[in-house]
Amino acid sequence: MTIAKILVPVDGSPCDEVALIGAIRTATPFCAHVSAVYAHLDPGKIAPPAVPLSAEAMTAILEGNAKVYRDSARQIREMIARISLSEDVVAEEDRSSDRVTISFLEALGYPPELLGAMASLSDLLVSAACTQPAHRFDIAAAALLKGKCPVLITPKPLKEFRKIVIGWNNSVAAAHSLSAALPFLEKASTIELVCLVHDREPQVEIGRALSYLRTKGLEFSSIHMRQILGSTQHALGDFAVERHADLLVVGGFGHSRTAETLFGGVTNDLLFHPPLPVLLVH
Amino acid sequence: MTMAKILVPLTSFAKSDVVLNTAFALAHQQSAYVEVVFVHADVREAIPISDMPLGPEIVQELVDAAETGYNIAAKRIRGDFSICAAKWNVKVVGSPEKSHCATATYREHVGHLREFLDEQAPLSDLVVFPSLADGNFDHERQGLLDTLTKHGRPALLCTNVAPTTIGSNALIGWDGGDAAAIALKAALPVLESTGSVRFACVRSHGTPGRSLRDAKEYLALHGIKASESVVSSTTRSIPSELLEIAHKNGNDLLIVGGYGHSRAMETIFGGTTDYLLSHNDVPLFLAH
Repeated sequence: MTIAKILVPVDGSPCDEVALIGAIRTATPFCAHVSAVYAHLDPGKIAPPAVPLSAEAMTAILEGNAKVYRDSARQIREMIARISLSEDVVAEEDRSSDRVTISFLEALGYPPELLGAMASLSDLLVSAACTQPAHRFDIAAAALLKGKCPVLITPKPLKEFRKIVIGWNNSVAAAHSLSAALPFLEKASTIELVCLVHDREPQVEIGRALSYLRTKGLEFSSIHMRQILGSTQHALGDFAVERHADLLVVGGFGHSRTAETLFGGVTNDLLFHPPLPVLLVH
Repeated sequence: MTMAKILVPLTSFAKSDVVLNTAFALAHQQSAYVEVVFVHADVREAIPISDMPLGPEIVQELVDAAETGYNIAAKRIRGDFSICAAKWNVKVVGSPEKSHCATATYREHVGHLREFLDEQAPLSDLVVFPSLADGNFDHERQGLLDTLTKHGRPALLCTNVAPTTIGSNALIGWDGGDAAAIALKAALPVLESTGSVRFACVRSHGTPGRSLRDAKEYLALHGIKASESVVSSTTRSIPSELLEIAHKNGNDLLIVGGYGHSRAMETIFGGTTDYLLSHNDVPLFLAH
């Protein structure tokens, strides 16, 4: 896929800056457009209270909600203006082919549902690792599963993705992650493959991954087969850090979501505690 | 970004020339690598399972006949492969390599189509299937379903006629639903090469989905111009209306989300996708 549009959910928290700067720096090699979206519930529609309230009290609550959202939206706009200056990006209307552009949109509704739908018409969703975990999980899951959109989780402002590690287990999700990562792989100087196997598991087949990359003239500079004891949860992230990688690419929700929730899967771990930028693809 | 790998599994030589022409036409546009594979069962599967014991001569005859059949098919397919490669300027290679033009390999695989696709489809950017009209193509139909739903990859369903162009005048059936959006995204490599697409907008039956404006804005970011026409089906069904529009406009590719409605809905109401699979007279690009 070509990276032309990057979606960034924002919510007025301090993590927005990490996500936006991460998105802009990811967009730069592709001269892509960054779409910042503040998705929140409609302040005019709240669930009826358990205790009946007077009309004045209801009005006060509704106005209070609306004010919170208005203030957040204003703060987000100010932050975007500030970041646009420091990162040298331009507004969407000034779009030409050689600059990153940015836009801001406020959308009313249930955020994971809205963002999942928007992700289906986006090439990448960027989220900061410090955002509220439950929200991040729901939005990332919606983008991955409903929007079929890769998700980049970034723990801190990014640097260039020179060295990329790919976590490989020959699954459908891993295969999708390899093809989705191609735009990044083509610009990287080093690509490494790592397969984690538990004791007594068969070796993971890697031939198809090698062939696929060769169609684009790419090669793995090294391939690592690591045996692990215990859970895979932290092993991938730890390995990528050990290799001084700038980006880890993995198939997200390769196992069923139920399995992941019950058994504390690899996807959960990388979503909640990424030690480096992680690209998740379903 | 263009497609990296197009997979063409063939189970017989029937329609192989059309399939190869279609696949190579697209590969030429994408400068993609095409893996053409003749997939057939082990010759020993020709031996029927029966309570009646068969004499060794009969068993041998059955096995030999199967082997001869596969050899004839392979020879025909290899012949079509060479002709189509030359016609579309596709370089025949021994293994995948980067090239400024399209490349292709041919090989045989002993096994069944579904298991073959389990292995190969996930790391292919597109899988090409022969037309499912006029005959019993259950294996291919199931393979196509698996490709879309199990392996999450787009499929290209050929017609019975070799195309002269593909994707240069594309039409997308659009109802704003999830599957249509996924199909649009999956077809981007083709649309980016040609720079334009026409939307055939149908009214969605469920909740309102993505607006056409959002879709056109997304395409514009990818350098693709979009036009639209509205499908108002009063006398005929939506899928036949789509095919009629494609035929009238001379579209050389119809892009649709496959099984956008639930499978239960499709089964009960004889869905859009199933109709298109059996009646397409324009190459059909599906994604789910």
